[in-house]
Amino acid sequence: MYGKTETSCIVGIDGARVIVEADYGDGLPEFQMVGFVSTEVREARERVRAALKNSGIVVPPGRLTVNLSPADLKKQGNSFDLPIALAIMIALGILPQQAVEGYLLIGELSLEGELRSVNGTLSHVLAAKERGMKACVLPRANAREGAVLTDVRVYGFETLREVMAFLLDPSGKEPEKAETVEERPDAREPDFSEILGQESVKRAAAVASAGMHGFLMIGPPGSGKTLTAKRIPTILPPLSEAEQIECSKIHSVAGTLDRESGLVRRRPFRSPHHTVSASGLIGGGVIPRPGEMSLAHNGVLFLDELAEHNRNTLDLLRNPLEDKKITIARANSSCVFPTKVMLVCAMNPCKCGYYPGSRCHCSEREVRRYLSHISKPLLDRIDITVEVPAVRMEDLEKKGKTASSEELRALVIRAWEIQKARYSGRKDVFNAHLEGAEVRKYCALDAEGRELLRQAFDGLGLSARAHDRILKVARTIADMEGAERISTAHLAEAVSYRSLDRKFWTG
Amino acid sequence: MTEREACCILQHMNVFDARELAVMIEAAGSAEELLALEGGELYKLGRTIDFEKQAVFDAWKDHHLQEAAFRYMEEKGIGYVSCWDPEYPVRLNTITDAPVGLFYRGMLPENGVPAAAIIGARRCTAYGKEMAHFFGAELARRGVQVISGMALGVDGYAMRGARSVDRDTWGVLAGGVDLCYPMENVGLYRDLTQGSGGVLSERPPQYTGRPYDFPIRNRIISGLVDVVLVIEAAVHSGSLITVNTALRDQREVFVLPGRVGDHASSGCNELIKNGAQVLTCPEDVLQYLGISVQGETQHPVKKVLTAEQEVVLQFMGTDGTSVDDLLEQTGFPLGVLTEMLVQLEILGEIRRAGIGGYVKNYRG
Repeated sequence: MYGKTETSCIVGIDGARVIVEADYGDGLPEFQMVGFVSTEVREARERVRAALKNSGIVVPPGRLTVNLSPADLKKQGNSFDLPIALAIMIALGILPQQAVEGYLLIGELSLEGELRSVNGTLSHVLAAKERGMKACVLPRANAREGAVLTDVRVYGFETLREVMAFLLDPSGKEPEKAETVEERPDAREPDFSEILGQESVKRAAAVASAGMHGFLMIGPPGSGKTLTAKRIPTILPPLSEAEQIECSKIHSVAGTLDRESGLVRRRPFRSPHHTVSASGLIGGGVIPRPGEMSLAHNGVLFLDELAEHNRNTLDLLRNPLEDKKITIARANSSCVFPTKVMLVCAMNPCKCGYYPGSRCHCSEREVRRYLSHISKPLLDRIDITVEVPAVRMEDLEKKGKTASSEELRALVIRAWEIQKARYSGRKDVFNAHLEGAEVRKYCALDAEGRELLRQAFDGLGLSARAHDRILKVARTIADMEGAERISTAHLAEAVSYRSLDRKFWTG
Repeated sequence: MTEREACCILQHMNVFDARELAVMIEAAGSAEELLALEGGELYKLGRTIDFEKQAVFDAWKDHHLQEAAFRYMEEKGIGYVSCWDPEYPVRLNTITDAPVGLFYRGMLPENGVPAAAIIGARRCTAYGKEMAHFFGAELARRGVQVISGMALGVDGYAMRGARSVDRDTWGVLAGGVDLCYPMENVGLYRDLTQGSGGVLSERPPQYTGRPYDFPIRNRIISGLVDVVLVIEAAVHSGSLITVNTALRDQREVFVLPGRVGDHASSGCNELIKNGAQVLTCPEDVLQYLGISVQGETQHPVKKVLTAEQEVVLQFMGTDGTSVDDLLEQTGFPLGVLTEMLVQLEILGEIRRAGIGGYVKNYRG
């Protein structure tokens, strides 16, 4: 006898269609599993056998063959237990074939017959939606995550027996409802108003966010670089629905999704430690998994202690930063992870962190060597560099008005909207992404501006590579004000964000 | 072989110190006659010379080695003057342990023109950097030859100051003149060796200076000049060795005062306490050198600043002032202030110093 069920397998961050077939017949008692399966899928055999037995289903001795098709797709993951178990039940005649028609089945089984959670639920459910299936059957723990897509019905169950009962009589069961998530009161977001002083740094952070410019902060330890970085996601516009789903898919596959809220609703903030490996950062592995950069998709990738990061690892960021995606190719497949991030970096000015103050005990040569650790090509992708001065006691006691995240966010949203309109038809293009001719087209200066820029180059010893970057940042500053033309004030501010280009660092 | 060539070979040996070599040449009659001796005969000159030095001495009597040395100098454009040559710096000849000869690239300092050494700490503060640059520029602009050790810190900034007004400047190295030390000053080195002054050394080419060579070199710096300016020096620092040789050789020493408690200026203040001349403006030095400062428009015409820019300048000193402080003190909005700071910086009124700080440029 024969039975078949439908499921999906995660490839990259998408679900690929997989059909599970089971055939039961006479012969020596045997349980064969074929169809290019990985070890964890092959082990499903033992779990399914025990789960069936403990759910009260007797598999009479006979030859059992399970095939996962298509045969050229490597099957990985723990989500095949449930579809295999159900295919066998159909083959045994316990369930009718039509009971599973139109259902996408996902879940790991315990030996006792309980359904256990899997990663990548959202991708599975999206796959079901694209294939026009009528519903998904998921482990209870994943149901809420799957239910966020309102146009596919999702049912969550605790045990194999419950699934069986449901498939035999689906009438009594209500599909899982998408949770209307109200903000949990304890999950208070950090806010820029909590940082006292550092007005110029906050402003620079807002400018960087408004144009998605790479942002680098240089300052002594304890000056608030990390605090600032953590608050950048709060001034970016809220995630759109499409972006939420994109992010959630990645986090779902990586297993970092908060199962309670179901979707990633806040801009991600990822801060990999400087010992992060290449595949940890951009993704990889035998089974390609998203790296930190993809997990930060639509949000902020924060590299603290930039000079301590491995240079070769950092160099890998260059292409994904430009392409906003990374393709990881393996012998039998390749997958694409999106990597649209805002790059935020922080570093000390020297090894001890206090250069050029009197507390610094580095020689000038050591300072230079420290700075030379940073990959120059990566620095080329950082448009805004600011110095973060040490915080003094007086600053902490001051009770002045300070910019809050809300105020800054308003500026950023305005700039985003203007950019969206200006670069209409081009997805995810911001001022930071302009190149060559586009810079000249969109960032034109008047005579006064050109004169200021010329003076700045002569007087401040800026390098030529700073030119386009200054123009792009000036464009963003103008956009934040809603100004059509770049004024000298915009330009001057943009010039002030190029401190690393200046002779200051090299004597 | 000429006398000059003989001296040159004797210095290539790099085993006799300056005074020892001078005494030996005198005892032998001339450098040529000294070079004609065998290593084993050197004791006849009344000095005990150990075997190692004798061996080096004998090795350098090889014509091939000598020719190779001359060829190398020619290839690299390295010149040599002995202390008996008229081109040899006159001032240097007056000191008791003047080197027998000098290797140089570029030019030698001119004899009839006043010269000043500007020395100080390698790890100088923003203040030291500023002052070194300022005095280097101001003295050079008035025709004083600025000579220094080309080290990091004060030395390099003083020389850059002189170069900033397009004047020649000289560096005295502890190693060979064909090697740029420190590597960070390679731009300066290239400038000096290509017609904007020169680098000098008593050590032969291709010799890398050892730590003990630097104090020995310092006597040449003070020997080459009329006055020595000390910008920033801690107590027990190398700069004070130069001050000692300068005083021994009757050079006037001008010392820039620092703040009490500043480690970088502790040596300077100590010198002032002991009676050194206090350096507060270039005119102090110029007057001593007999250069008239009368009738000169002292500074280039001050650039016209807006009233707001003047206000911002009021709140700035030679200590770093942060943007946050300026925001609070001036009351200008951040955008306005940022624009003004950039414009003031372009005008050369202020510059960045330290993390997130600005200082007023010193204009005498």
